[in-house]
Amino acid sequence: MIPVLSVNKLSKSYVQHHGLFSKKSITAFAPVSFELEQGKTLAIVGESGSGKSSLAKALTGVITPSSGSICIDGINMADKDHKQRCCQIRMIFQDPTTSLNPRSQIGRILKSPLLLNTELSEQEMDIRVSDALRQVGLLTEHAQFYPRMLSSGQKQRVALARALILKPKIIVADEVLATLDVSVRSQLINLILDVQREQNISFIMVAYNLGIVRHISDEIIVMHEGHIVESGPTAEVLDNPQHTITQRLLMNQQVQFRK
Amino acid sequence: MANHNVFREEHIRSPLAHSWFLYQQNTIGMVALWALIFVLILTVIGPWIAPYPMDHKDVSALLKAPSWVEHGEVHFFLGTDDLGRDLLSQIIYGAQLTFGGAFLTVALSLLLGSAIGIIGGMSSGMQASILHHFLDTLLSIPSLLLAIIIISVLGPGYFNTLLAVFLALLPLFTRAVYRAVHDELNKEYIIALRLDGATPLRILRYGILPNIVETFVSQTTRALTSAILDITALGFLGLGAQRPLPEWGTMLSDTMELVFLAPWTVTLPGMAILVTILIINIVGEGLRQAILKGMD
Ligand SMILES: Nc1ncnc2c1ncn2[C@@H]1O[C@H](COP(=O)(O)OP(=O)(O)O)[C@@H](O)[C@H]1O
Ligand SMILES: [Mg+2]
Repeated sequence: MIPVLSVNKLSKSYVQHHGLFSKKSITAFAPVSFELEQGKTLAIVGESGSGKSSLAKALTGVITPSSGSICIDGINMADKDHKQRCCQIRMIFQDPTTSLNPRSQIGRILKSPLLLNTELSEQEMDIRVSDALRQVGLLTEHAQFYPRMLSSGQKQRVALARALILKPKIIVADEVLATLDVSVRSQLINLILDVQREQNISFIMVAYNLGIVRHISDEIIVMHEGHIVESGPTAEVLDNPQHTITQRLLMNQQVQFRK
Repeated sequence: MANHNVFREEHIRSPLAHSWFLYQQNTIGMVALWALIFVLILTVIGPWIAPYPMDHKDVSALLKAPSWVEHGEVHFFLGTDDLGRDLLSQIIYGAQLTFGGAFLTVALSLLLGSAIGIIGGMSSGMQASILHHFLDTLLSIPSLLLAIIIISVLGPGYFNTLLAVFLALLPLFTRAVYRAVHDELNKEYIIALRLDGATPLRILRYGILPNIVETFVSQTTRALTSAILDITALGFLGLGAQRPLPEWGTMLSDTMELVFLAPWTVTLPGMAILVTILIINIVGEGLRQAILKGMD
């Protein structure tokens, strides 16, 4: 079975300018390689500053990687522009309050990817928008709302709808659960699992809570200071961690559970 | 679900419409807004409603007191100056020179300065950083000083005053808009738009501009205030408009020596300046607050 996503020796270093001539480069993540099969979920865990967000951003094209390649269905994404990339791989941001334009109606926010990437008529777009809203458990009427009228759980649903509306193969979610309360969080997890089952989408979830990671993911990558220190099937890695970093992450959270 | 449509019209207001709704609740703000509209109308139709022509001098009515004081006369409602010019007419004509001139210069520098700021803010790298450092240097000089320097090159006069004020205001707008656009570009909803494949123009139209209205409002308020102050100050210093032009600052300096003999000739133009600046700031600050509140 060929993987839907294969990442080969991808790396990113940020260049910071100090004054006019001196510059310093910070490695966000060293060359990393991994693959992901269709319909599976890959979790990326690691302490903060380990390069998880940078990796997620590089995958979706928010930042350009310093080296390496990203292939989706065997096609290298480096030669493609945003337009071709965004029909394949979409991103959901961490904070729903800053990822939705406060001056746009929800309907407009959802319509803009359709407008820019498809040839649909105005009516077909409206239908797609209300379908997407219903799919994430919102009402058609919500299309007229502005983001400030929604709760943060509802906003994150809109963000999910925006990711889904182009019917991508892969969705990358950067700590989308972190800002939600527990009950809303489990609703969103169930929603994601449902959507995944229906449409056979692959997910890449950057996550912190290992309990959730165990529940939703098939594969896991543990990152530390920009390197992958451990990877493999989630259950195996979490039950029998080999690397001290993984052990430490598990231990920290078990202490939290006991409290 | 059933009662979702009840009161819908009232609930779904665009953020800007909501801000306007909030502003209307602000009584002082509304009064100031009506006053500002009144000044604006006066500026436009002043020449048609002023009781006397601009250069009309009545030698038989020198230094008449305002009509409500003893010896005042109704047909010189605000009194006259030492050459027998009707103060009411002079102030009405002056509105065109002081307020109208400030309004025009601010409008022009808003257009040009914002355009430069938007282009600078949307681009990155070397040009943007040069623009940034250049503007920082320019802005460290107070606008009045900058205007005086420009006047000293161009020579005194009303038109040169406007030119100098225009040039002094440009960096103000450019810098503020540059900053706002630059900050806006790093926000996630803009990144999301970019990932959707939006062109820079579309990002600007739907993502950035609606979100920096607050910057435009507060900068325009500041610029209008500083333009009026600069125009009147230059007039007062004798570098700006010259008599017989009844620019408010020029009127002030012209009648300064009469302050004990005929205090109204000094007080009234001074009041005109003060009140205009006051209402501009009340309206500007009210709008800014309403826009900020309308966001959440
Ligand atoms: N825009 C940036 N410019 C410079 N350095 C950055 C930038 N973003 C992240 N970094 C650095 O890259 C490293 C990885 O950050 P990040 O990917 O945000 O980690 P994580 O999401 O795991 O917390 C950190 O050391 C961080 O300081
Ligand atoms: Mg992060």
